[in-house]
Amino acid sequence: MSGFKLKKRKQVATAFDVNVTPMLDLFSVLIIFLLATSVFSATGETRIEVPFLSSQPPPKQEDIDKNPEKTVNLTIDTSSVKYQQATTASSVPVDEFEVPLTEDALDKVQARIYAIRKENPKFDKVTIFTQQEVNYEKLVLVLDAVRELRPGRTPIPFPADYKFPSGVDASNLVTKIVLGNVIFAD
Amino acid sequence: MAGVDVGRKESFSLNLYPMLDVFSILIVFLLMNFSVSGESTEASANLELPVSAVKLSLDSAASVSITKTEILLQGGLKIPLTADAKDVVEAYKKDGQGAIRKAYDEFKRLKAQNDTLKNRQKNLGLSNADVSTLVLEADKVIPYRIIKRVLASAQQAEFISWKFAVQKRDVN
Repeated sequence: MSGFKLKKRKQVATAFDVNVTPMLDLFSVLIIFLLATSVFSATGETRIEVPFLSSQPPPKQEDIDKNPEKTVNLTIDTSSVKYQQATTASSVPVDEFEVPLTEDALDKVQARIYAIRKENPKFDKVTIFTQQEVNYEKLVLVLDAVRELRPGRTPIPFPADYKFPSGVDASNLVTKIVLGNVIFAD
Repeated sequence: MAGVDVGRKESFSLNLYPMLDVFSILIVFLLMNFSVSGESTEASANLELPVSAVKLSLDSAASVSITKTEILLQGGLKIPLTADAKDVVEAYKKDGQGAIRKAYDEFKRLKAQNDTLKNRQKNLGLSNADVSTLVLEADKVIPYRIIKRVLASAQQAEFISWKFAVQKRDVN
């Protein structure tokens, strides 16, 4: 190894460091923008129908008598809700009770409708008659009791061929809520 | 000056990578939940929606607002509610069918617009958007006698399907 001197190359340590600060700035601006403009939709909706006068002839009484369907009517006044269950064949109630207009008391109404749906999964409509001085908040309380299942009650599947109206699904107790006394003078 | 290390430099570098990770996750989360299409009712002292257990978010549609002081229709029509809502009740008595004349006329105009839109969509072979449903935003203290007049006015203009706006109890 004489005369040949291995020159040790000087090692240059080059550390590549990405400057993340501008990226962090950008992310901060983006987060603020997203937080400020996002709509965390806190507004919900509940579907309601209003009866419509039809020019079609009503079904024959014989047909109704042969296959009567259950009907549930709720009458809301400022302090209570009256539950009336009858059939399409006869308007005479077969089950009737009144509960105070409170969230807890309305559980009895939901329990009764739940039992009807369990017996007949096709049952899908409740008609509500609201008195003049009942306010919107109280009306919504009843709509909730009729449509939104409370904890402990599992959704009852609708028949396979059931056509869901828009805005409701299988998790709802009933799909059609009709405000019965809109078109009549009082 | 023995023992004093004059030439030694210490550089403090903040490790920003964990912060970057957190920000990235936050941005992904926000982008996934980002929505500008969801309807949000204008916060107003005169329009406080009742709280409900509903899970469905409010979808856009032509809306009618009933505040403590007036009825506001999508087209810009305002019907003032006097202290005892006399205007609305008187209108009802005159019509005899529960409708508020001014509101009925506005709903009729909206109905004609919707029909034109539906025909155009049909001619273009597009799927029909649901324009026959209206949104009702009412203050929680509004009595049903006023809500009923609005519903009746719309019903006579062939609007029978409604979305009642509420404040969700559980915001998801």
